[in-house]
Amino acid sequence: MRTLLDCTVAAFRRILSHRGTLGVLVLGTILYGFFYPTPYLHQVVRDVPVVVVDRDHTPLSRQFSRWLDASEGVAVSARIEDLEVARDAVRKADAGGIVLIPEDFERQVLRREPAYLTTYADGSYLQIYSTVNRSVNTVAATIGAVIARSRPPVTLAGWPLFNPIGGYATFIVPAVFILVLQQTLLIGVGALRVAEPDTGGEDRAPVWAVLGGKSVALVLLYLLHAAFLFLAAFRIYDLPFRGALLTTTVFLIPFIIATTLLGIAIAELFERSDSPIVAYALFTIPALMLSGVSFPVEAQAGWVRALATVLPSTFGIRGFTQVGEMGATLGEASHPWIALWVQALVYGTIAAWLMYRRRAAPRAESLERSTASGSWGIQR
Amino acid sequence: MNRVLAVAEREWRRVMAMPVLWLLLLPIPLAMTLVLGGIFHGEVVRDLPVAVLDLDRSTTSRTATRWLESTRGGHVVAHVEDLGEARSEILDGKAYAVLVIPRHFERDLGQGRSPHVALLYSDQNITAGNNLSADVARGVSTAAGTIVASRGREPAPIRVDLHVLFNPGANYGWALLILFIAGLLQVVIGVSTVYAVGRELADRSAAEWLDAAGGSTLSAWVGKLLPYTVFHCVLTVLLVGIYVVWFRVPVHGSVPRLGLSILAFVVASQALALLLIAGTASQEKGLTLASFIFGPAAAFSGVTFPLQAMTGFGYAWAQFIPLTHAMKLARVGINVGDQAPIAAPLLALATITVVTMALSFRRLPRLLRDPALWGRE
Repeated sequence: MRTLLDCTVAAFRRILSHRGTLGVLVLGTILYGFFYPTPYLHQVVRDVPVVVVDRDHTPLSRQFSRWLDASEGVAVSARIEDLEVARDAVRKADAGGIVLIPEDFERQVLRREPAYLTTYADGSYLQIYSTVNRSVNTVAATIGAVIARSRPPVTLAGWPLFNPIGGYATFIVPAVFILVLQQTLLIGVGALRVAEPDTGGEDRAPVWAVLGGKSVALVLLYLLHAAFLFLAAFRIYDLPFRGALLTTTVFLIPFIIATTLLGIAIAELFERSDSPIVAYALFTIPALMLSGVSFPVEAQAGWVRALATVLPSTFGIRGFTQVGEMGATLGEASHPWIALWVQALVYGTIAAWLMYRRRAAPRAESLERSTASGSWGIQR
Repeated sequence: MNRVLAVAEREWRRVMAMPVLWLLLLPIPLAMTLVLGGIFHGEVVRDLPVAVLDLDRSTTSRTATRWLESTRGGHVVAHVEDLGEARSEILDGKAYAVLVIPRHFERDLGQGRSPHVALLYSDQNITAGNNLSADVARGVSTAAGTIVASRGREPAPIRVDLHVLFNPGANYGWALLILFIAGLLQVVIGVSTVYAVGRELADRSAAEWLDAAGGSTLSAWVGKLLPYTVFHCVLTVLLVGIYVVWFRVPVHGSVPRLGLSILAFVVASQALALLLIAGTASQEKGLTLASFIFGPAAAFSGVTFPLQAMTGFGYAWAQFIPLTHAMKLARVGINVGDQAPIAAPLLALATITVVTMALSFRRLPRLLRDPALWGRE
């Protein structure tokens, strides 16, 4: 126990004394925490410009256009007659969609004949497409109901839970923050490895204590970061956090441990500090996608889903969404929580084995390695 | 010309001796493109797990369950007994939504009392939530139309006929994979530029580099960067080609316009990265800045979340990133075709190139000659 405490203190000292580790492990999270949410803070897409091509010129077609303009999602940017001009506006991305009101629209509606509105939406931007689609359908249904004066035989009441306005920031930022924790932790642990001399005092401590000490130090540090991100930054940016503090803390502990041990294992394999930063730049977005936030895991290829189980972020994001955003209990989030402990066990074993191997390696080799520029660079 | 070739040849030998660099240039982007493609394997959101809470338990209510099964987005995975069970199905991630069929559903429907079916869905994941709710709404309204018709009454007077332009099936792979591939390319271009120059400085090999160029600053830089420009253009064609073939995306733009678009994107990304390493003269700082700027660039590109809806800061930041303008070029070049203009995004990329080159211009000779700028990690 005493050894573990010593190693924890040693890890803390090293983090705080080295500029590189201090930057990544302490300042990185704060900087990213403020930077990443910035594009999404308006939450929803409002007033997408839509061109109305009105060939009917009746009170009903004008009413439709006015009601559409009044909807939250779209704004009528022009009312013209030429469809080709309207299509040009969509091609140039000046408009997100077109609503074509055909001749005889009002007459057909009043005669109770089926009347068709044609909508064109820009499918290259899915948010714009879905906003236009939803707005036009809502207005059509509303006007239709007013005219028909009869209720449809059955209706659907949609109840969005946890994110009732369908906010983009509420959806993506929690996932991104978990990812920020993982990525800064991985780079930081790599930098920490580089910061320590090959034959430092740490080598005398048993492997389990070194791993345990680093894990404890980083759990303490990263719980503070998590508190900063999910309590302070969330409040500043007005994002909801529904988790119970204790449950969320207990959930995050194996996430931080698994990530730390993965970081140590990677750092044992690669000695240079520049490779983790490169990897960070490359893997941030794919890691986010692999967790299923942008495109549901149910629709991803099987082998990709298998690959995703390697990353702590996959289960970290899934579980945190349940615990922190939906207010689930640990029992309800037990699947990702257990998966994170399994990862911690596996990565801990690998890291311990690699450390034993390094210590068992003959001194000559370790000398050679410290004078060469490392396995990743060219000879100086 | 010979000097440029000599520098290029030296660069080739250097790349081969630096595993980080050659891995970054080809095997990693290829592997990542395959992973990204695998993520969008399903192309559209379909068969999301949904639970059913049937409080009516009649023949008609079982028909209502089939309305759900007939949608593309939903798939019944469980029947629950009460709202508490429904809630925990969603909370523990087994279902995205619960369809609630109210008591007396059959009777109310028969007597024309217009019963409500409720869909409780998690909108925490808005991609899943929005798709599912829209699909189920469509399913129920189709069913309503059928019921009305069977009763010999007029259906709802206004119908909306939807055409999705440039992406007929609203395919997520079409719309998003190109963004993540282009974002990946931008990271590869940016990081490899910083790395290729940064290692020369860190290893104090700039003098040798200048020697290979026969002492000419211009030859040294052209010989260093031009081979990468060519390589990155080829890599872009390769990775975008994988996207086009894999997801059967029709390419509507003409070859010269596509070529110009790719070149403008590659050069602007290189120029921005060059400024990062020239400005810091430190590989580590350059890489950190490059990963900060290029890593999350896809989020600012306006594809996943529209530029017009961004905050002022987000919008302004996006303008400095080549990817933002490259995505407009990709949309026109691949989806829309030559009828749309590309002058504005090309001009934006040219501006980024010129401004960043102007800012790093005076540093370029110094980096080759001033030992004070060498040896920093």
